[in-house]
Amino acid sequence: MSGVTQEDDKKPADHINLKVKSQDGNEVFFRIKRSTQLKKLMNAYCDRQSIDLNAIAFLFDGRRLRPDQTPDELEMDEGDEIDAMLHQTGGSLA
Amino acid sequence: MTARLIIDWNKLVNDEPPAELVVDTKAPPTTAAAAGEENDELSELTVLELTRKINGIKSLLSSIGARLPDKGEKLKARLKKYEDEFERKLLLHSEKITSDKCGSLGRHHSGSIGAANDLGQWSPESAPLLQSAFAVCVENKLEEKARSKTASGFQNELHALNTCGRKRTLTGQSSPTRRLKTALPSRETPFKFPVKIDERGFYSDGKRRDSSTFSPRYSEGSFSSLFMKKWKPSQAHSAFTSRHANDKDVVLVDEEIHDVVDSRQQAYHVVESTKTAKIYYPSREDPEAVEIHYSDMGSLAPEAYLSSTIMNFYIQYLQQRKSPADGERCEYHFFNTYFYNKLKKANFSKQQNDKEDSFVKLRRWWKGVNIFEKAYIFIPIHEDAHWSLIIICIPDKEDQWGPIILHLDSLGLHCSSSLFGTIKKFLKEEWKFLRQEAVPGLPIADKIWENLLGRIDDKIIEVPQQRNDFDCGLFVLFFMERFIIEFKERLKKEDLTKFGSKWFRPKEASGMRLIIHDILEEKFKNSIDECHL
Repeated sequence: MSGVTQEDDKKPADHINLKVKSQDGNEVFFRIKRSTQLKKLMNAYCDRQSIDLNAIAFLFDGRRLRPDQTPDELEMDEGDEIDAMLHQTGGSLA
Repeated sequence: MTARLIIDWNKLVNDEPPAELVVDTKAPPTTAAAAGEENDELSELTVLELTRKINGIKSLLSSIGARLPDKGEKLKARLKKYEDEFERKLLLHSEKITSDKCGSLGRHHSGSIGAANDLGQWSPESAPLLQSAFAVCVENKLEEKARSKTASGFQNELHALNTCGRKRTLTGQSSPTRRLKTALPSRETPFKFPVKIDERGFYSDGKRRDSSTFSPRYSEGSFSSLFMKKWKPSQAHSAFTSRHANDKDVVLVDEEIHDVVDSRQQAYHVVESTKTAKIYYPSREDPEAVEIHYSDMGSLAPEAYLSSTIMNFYIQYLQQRKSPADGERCEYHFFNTYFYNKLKKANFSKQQNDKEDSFVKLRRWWKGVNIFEKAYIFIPIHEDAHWSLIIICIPDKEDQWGPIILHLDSLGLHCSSSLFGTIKKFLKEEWKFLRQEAVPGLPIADKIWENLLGRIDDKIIEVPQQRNDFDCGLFVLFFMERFIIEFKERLKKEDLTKFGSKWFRPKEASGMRLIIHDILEEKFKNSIDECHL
């Protein structure tokens, strides 16, 4: 959307740096095109961390990310943080 | 020899469920007919509908019950009936679970059952199989095909149910949990006609005509649910019983078996592709949408621990059900299951500047919502593989007290004081933030708002306790549901006495497992139907 039309001479405005933060505070940085589907980022993160994609929920501002969404669509800003939360299960391991 | 039975599966399967116990017209008249009508009507209800009715009556009783001429006696009687039926359904379900658990290979009256040892590996030798038993197999197989299990469970179940079914017929006892029909509904006839099949004809035919009426577009989910709905275990015994009652009417619907297998094989391919089926609730476009994969339903299996996906789905479901229907803006705010952990981390940042910064970031989790305007804020807690619930109650303008934080824990496992500490920090930060902005029109009395920090109260609420080690997630969801139903208005101090260990029966919370499963199953079916329209 607006990001692409931004006139920025120094940096190409069609890229954005995003941070993926895990529950234990571990941070991984990604540089991604604003128009690229976040699926790519999710897969890259899971590969790096050797986790199954289905074991995590990626949240942006508390909302679950869909793999087909793009930073543009979500109006993400430079340096924004994505939470990688492991799915929780609960019974009562006493 | 060659009579072919053309079965319109769509019609059969989409029709209302057949009666669960059929009394042959030749059978001696029983007292059953009298018990009939209303119980019949009850039996048609799903667990979900039943719960809604029960809740409806309860809230009616609590609001106008005392003012009724009969002091609500009639309503109470009706409530009792619904509750009995609810319990019966749960019992049925747990019987099913138990029989499912019986592990080893079983015996069957009519011989070996090499049936359905795995999806798509059907052996024609096993054809002379009672169709009802088969249906149960299909249901179970499709539902739990991951487990390589033989058909024994179902046989045990059949056997057990059959015994009991026959006993009932003999005694002719009429109980409120019994449903009887005096006539054979026409929709059942296809299952009952004696049909013999020319197998060669069927195979050489090449075209599996009959299966074409069963739309292969159904996924694993809808497919199994269709069977599940139509083939409750009790039905298995009805067909079974009638077999013994009158041998002439016995049906070994071989063609039907092939038929089902065939469509099942087709379905299997669809299943392969829909194993990854997912839905978004409430809708794909909704920013708060919850993504649910079909495999997520696994956490609703008997005795499974509830997953955050299912929790978040039902939280969203409660939210959707409440806000638009009431016509007013939502008085509640639900945080998702991840919020609390995030909050805990954010609050514990060390540097002062960083802390403020991280709080501003965290505020995006409730973007556009003024926490202090809500009547209730629900925060599910997940720690140490256990679920519990925090409810923040915001007082009314007339109230002379500040916010109260309630902790509801079905095991008393979580450390309430540490939860209260974190939540209080959260409220304080938010309060500080809002004070900078001077938000007008708060529902809280000015005097209290000014000194909010000293006025936040907390209370551990005594609630019914779970009697197993796997239902805590269901309890949390049920706490929310009941809370919303019973405390529609803002919580008053005197309301705090309305909880306690007898607030509801633990069974009711455990019953949520089935209810949520049914809701989701329906959603998956609808979404698949939509895809193919």
